[in-house]
Amino acid sequence: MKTVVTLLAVEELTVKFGGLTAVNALSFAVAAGTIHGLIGPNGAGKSTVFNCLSRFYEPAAGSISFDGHNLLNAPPHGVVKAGIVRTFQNVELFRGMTVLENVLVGQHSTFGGSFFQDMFATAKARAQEKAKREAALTTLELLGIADTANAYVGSLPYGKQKKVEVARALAANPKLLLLDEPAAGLNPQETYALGDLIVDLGRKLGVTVVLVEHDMTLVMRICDQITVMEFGRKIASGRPDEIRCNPAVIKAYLGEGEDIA
Amino acid sequence: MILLQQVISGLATGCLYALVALGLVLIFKTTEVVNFAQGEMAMFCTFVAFSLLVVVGLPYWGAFAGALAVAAVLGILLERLFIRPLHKSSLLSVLIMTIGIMMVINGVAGWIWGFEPSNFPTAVSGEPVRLGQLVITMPDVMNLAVTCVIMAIFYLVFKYSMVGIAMRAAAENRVVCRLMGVKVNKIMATTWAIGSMLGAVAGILIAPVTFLDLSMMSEVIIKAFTAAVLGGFNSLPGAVVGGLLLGVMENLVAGYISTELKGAFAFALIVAVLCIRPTGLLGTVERKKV
Amino acid sequence: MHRRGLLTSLLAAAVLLLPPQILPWFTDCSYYFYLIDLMGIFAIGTLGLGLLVGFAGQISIGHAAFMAIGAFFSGFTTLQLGWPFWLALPAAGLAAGVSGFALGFPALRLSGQYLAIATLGFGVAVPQVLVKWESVSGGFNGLKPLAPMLFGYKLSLEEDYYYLVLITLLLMGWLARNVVASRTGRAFIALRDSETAAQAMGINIAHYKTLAFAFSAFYAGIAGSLYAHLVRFIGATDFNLGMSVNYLTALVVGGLVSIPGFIAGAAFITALPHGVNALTRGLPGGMKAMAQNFPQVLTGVVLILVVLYLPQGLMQLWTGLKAGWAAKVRGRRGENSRDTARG
Repeated sequence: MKTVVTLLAVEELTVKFGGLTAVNALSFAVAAGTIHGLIGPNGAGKSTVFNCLSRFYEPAAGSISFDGHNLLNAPPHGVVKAGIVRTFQNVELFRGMTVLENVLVGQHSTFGGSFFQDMFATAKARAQEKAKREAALTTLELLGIADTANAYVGSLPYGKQKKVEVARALAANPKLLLLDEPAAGLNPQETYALGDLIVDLGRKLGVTVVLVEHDMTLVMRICDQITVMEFGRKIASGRPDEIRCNPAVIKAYLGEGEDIA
Repeated sequence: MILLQQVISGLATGCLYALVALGLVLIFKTTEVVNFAQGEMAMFCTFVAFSLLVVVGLPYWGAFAGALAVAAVLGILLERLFIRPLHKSSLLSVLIMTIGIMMVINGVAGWIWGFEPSNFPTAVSGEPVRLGQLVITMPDVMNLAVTCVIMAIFYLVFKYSMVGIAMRAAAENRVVCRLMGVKVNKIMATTWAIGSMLGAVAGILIAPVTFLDLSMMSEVIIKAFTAAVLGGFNSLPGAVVGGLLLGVMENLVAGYISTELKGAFAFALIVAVLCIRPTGLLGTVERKKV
Repeated sequence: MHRRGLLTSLLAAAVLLLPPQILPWFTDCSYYFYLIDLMGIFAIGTLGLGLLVGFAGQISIGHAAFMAIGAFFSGFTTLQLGWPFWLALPAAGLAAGVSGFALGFPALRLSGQYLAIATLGFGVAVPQVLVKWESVSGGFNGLKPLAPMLFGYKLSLEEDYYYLVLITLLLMGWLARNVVASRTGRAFIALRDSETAAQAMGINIAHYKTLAFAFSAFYAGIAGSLYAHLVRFIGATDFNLGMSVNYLTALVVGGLVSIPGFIAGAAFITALPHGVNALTRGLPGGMKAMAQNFPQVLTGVVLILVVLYLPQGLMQLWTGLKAGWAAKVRGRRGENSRDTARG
């Protein structure tokens, strides 16, 4: 029997915006090497949870433990060093740069060297730059978009832009990958391919994945565990087949009908 | 009693800062533009008032009204021709645009009216008002009175009229406003017209003191920026409070510490506020959704 | 191929290095070299601002203040403290750089319009403070720095000063280009394009913002020192809002993200008032007064037009032309040129 290592443990997480409690005493755990889905109707608080994990929001209460360390001690730019990277709902790529350059930014935290070495273009800096570029190209190949390396991200179709975001995130060699609605705006074929890609990446790179998603087909197919939220609270947790027939979950969704992204 | 005297005359000066600041904040709140040309626009309209007075021979209030009309038209034209096309552009572009407008207006004013300073008459003349030990000059009375009237109108219009509500809505979400049938373009134009008029009023009230010349608003505009920052750049009451407060504080510094430092005070205040509490006294924080 | 590259380099070197030696034999061209020196100096200042505004996406409308700091630091240390020029120049850059770093801190909490106002306040305050600080700045009388001594040679002639400016510009340009193409440069652009994503990728926003401010201020400080020893008569009020606006104009005109653009824009804005003066020299007195305003109005008009129609600056015209030509060439071969025409 495989030992289950908990990579991420969220305990009693509470986030408030003024008088509104967006996340209410939420607890869930993500096992290393798994794909974990975070689902729920709109406004359930899923993106807020992600923003807490990225340390953009400060929780009012609760704790987040990642890889044995207290994540709440890290500043927003320290999350990558801890081993967590994310993609964004609204594809936050750097539009002034090419695909390759975006991925290089993903590697930012893996560079040694200093500003002065950059300024004087020392041999060391140049050698490192070369090595990182090759590594970045490898990541692009992994996602099948190496041919777009020198294109400006703004010129790419939406589906490819999403892949660039994933490549950028992977470039940081994360332990945990947070995907924020990766299937949004994709058609069913593209979504299916995305699912395969996520599973493949998880296996090949040993990355744990948490995804926020509205596309139930995708979630049910690839997730090992699912946490369901509604109005900031957890209403169910378990394997896909358990969640599928959970009455509370069905009620939460039937009220609005399923989202079409 | 001297203290009260300082405070009152400080308030009177502060009214002028408040008027210009109010125009700045109104334009910023509704159209999201920091109008660096505000001072030059006011200067231009004050010169227009002067011409109406001296060249055309209109009575004071006729010239005043004429200048306001020109101010409104100027605001509408600038918004329509130069600001609206940039509503999707970067912040830097808009900023540069208003700086460019500032330079052109200043230069053109020089061409039209020359470079020599002139005298500008006050609205009312006569003996200062005496309340016990206090002496309030007529111009100060005028400033206070005009400002109070304008504040009152603003308050009522903004809170209760459809125009006011529409302006506040347009500031928050343009797209939804359009979908709701609000004529956003008209709102933008109206905002700039009003902002321009506020500047013109301030200019006309200031001119008797500073003399009428091309650089008359250059110091005032810095004070207006300070006032807006102090009160909170996205708060209309803040602009007023900021202006009045600045006027009083400046006067107290000049009276009790040194007149020389009066100028440096405004700058120090801007930097201090921006460091300690960037949203100012009454402003609010704006958050981006990710 | 190799021979062509060598030939072009030799040609460029000749064009850059020979004229100051040859031309003075034929005509008195000290005024033109003065102008070229000024253009080079402002180009250095613009390089710094360009990195801050164009690449790092910050706003600064008080850049002249850093130039003032560099100018007076250099003037004061050489005149009053007897420092040699080769020490005063980089020290002036450092002094300005440190102030830039200091300004970076309040800048962390501000963005957009608020940052603009803060830098405006800074830009207006510094000359005022300098004027009051008479021991350093000479108050309203200003300072008269001397021509610099380098390697035992006194650079009092504009033709000779040219070499100093040229070498400094080339060096500063090389440094800027290195930064832009490096990890630091990418961090700046990331900071500009999406602070949120930048943080998520591990970029310390505070670190890079203050670095950008310090870097740009350093460049302005160097420019200030060179300026002080060229014009040899500086007053605190010379470094006013107008000069800061000129720097911004240089960026807008030359293009926000192109190093050659920065230099071209600086050359344009420096030459403009001199060009106008030359054109209006023959005009009668009344019109002369009007002409005094003309550079300002023209600058304003240029700003307005460029912002409206050429948001990427005049370099946009240049890259557009190059792309159009490249498209024509490719069109003959029937290739798709759209994704290669990046310029």
